[in-house]
Amino acid sequence: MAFSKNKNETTQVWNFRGKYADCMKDLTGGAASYQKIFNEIYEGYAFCALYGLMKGRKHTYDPTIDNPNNSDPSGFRWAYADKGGIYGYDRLRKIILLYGNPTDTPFSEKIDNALRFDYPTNDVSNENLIAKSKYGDNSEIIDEYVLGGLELIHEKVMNISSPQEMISFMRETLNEFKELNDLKIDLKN
Amino acid sequence: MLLKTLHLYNFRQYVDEKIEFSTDTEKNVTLFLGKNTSGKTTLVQAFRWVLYDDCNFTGKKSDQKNVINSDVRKQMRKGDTKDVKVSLTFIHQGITYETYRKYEYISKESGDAYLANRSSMTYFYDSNGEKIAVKGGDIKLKEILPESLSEYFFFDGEKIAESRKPENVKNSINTIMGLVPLEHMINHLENGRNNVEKTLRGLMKEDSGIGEINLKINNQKNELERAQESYKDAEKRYNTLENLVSSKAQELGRIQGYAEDASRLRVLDTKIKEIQKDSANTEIDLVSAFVPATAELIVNYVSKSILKNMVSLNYEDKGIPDMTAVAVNYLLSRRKCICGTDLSSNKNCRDELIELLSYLPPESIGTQIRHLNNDLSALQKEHSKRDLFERLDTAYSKQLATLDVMEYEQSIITDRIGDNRDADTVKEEYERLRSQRDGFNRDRIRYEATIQTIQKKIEDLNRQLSAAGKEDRFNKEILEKLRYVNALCAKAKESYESNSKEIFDDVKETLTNVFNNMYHGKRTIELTPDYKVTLNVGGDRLDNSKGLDTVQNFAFIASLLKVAKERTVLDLRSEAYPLVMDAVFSNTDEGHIKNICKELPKLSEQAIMALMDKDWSVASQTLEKNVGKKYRIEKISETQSRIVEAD
Repeated sequence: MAFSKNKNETTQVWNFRGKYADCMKDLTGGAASYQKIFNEIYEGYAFCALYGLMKGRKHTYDPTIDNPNNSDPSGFRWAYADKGGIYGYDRLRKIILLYGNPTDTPFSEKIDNALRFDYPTNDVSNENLIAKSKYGDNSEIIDEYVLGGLELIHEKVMNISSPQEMISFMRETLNEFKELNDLKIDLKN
Repeated sequence: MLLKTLHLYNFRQYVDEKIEFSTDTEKNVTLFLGKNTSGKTTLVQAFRWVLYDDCNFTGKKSDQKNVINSDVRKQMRKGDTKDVKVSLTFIHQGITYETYRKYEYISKESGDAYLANRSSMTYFYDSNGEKIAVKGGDIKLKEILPESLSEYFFFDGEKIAESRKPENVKNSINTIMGLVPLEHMINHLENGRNNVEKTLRGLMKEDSGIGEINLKINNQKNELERAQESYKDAEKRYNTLENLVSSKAQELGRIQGYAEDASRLRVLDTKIKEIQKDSANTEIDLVSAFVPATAELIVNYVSKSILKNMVSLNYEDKGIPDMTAVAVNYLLSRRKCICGTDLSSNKNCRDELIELLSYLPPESIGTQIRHLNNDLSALQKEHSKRDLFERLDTAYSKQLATLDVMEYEQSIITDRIGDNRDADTVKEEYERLRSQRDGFNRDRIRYEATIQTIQKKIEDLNRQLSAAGKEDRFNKEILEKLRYVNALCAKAKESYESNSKEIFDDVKETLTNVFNNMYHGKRTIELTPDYKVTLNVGGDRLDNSKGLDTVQNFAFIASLLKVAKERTVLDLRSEAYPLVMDAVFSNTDEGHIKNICKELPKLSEQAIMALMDKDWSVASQTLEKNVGKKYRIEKISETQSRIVEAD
């Protein structure tokens, strides 16, 4: 699950593996039509990252237990991640690193983690400068939220057994986040 | 016509049964008593089969082919042949006839057989007792007892309400009333008249323009013939459609109240299907809109939260005003600072400059924070995805609410309308038939007018011919002969029409009397000129119960039998006819049974009745003294019955 921001490597494929690949297949069309909530895998990746972030759910892939025999991993090319709007990876990464855990990290440090990584990549020819950069891409944090969010949303959606139930679940979920938006924002975060 | 004997061989449940009917004028009733499913209907249907090659047990077309006894069929081995045969002897106009119909079945595999051959033959016995074959036997049988009246002569009390109204009843009635010789005479005269007229005109001397007038007359006659053919064709189609319209009108009368409901139900069915389809599509759209809408809400919230923290952040911008990364990179590349320090030897100074790069434009942290601030400010206000979901959700709720209302209305109408869901199509069909009928009626009227115009032209031409021909003695004689030919034809037609009218008047009067003797309610019976019978109350037509249908139809056939028995036409005695009845009292109350039984022996020359014991217990009180032959139908098994003479 390594991630490189090198523009020459956007053809690289990011894969869900094991049970997470199965979950993603269910939610992109493998199960009943009303359970197909993702139109494409990258949409699922981005949504699950946000969902995991909000629900505080993280997971790290463990090849020894997460159905490692699955030989049909679901994946997407990084080229698809280079899009605008709420799903653009660069923005997604920044807001997750700025908002996400750990909560005791000072916000100024979160700023450094989220924003400083971009700078050296503008001059990749200068190996000295890249080597000197003390900030990584922190993509493993994003991936952990993705897996946590995927596990959670999959569990909820797969327990739904009719279109009407699905509609209720969608309404409840949206209301939950609408109510959160109406709350006073906690500055400690 | 009197029925003498019937022989059933392998016909349905009868393997070999011979029956003799009573022909006694006083004791003119032959009675068959039997329980349900013993074979009473089969017995009556055997008459239809032998006379018209038709029978109806289950209402299916295949009934006619499946007449072989089931046991006989099962016992057949591959290659076996078996006959099914019904023979009937009867007397008509003093001559004894014998007719039979035979089906030959062949077995292709054991236990089954198919119909391979059909044959029929009719004989009569001459004065020496010799048996002579009748040419065109089936046609002769239909002349003796027209098939269109067979539903009345072979009367099934259980099927009468669903029986179709026979067409050409008027012609059939005239046939049994003895107008056949007149009909034959008219046809003979009409067929010969044109040739005779042409021949006579051809003989006239052609001076004084006579040749030209004759030519015009011939042309007009040809035109007249064509117009008459067209008229007959339009009339036939009109009558057929009139019958259909009439029967559809009855059906419509019964279900008209449901037409609006049926039409609304059809609209509801279509709309409900459309809305179900639309709501299923909206469900799919909602599921697609859910993830972007939720992601948007999360990003809204997270952006808001980050922005709040940014406001509280006192981030020290370590950048140097107006200095860019280009300048620092230049110093690093020349390895000498602006203060003169050698950067290749002073590592601390070099690292200081490299770190400084992080805080300088174009992508200094301050710039990035400003960009991010702008970006998140926009993101926290974004709501297009959420709006789309809400619009879809509102539409979906409306669809479900509309669906609920419509399904409720659908269930109410469905309960109310019951089995009359096609009421609106019956109305449409009725309107279509009526429009077709009116079209043929217009054609008929047009051809009628054309015929009158041509006839007037012919009359004018004939007057011209008379004027031109009277000068010459020979021509005058021919004109006389022509007048004679036309007068003869007109006289025959007039006689037919007046007899036909008398028959109608007789039947109508008799029908009223017979019905009044049998029926004791408020309804009156009406007969239209084309012999349609209806029951009215105070001038309004009402639907009949099955019992009333039986009384109405029985009164009608009884009247025909009575008139047929008593009438004479042109000194030719018309014929008495038998009445064969199955389950005649099935739907009739006790009072009507007694009334019918009182009238029956008086009206019909011969009555053959198949009854259940319970009906006979009522009927016997008035009918017992008229029974000449009594049989009991004994059911041996589901596939076999026998007929034994009873005391």
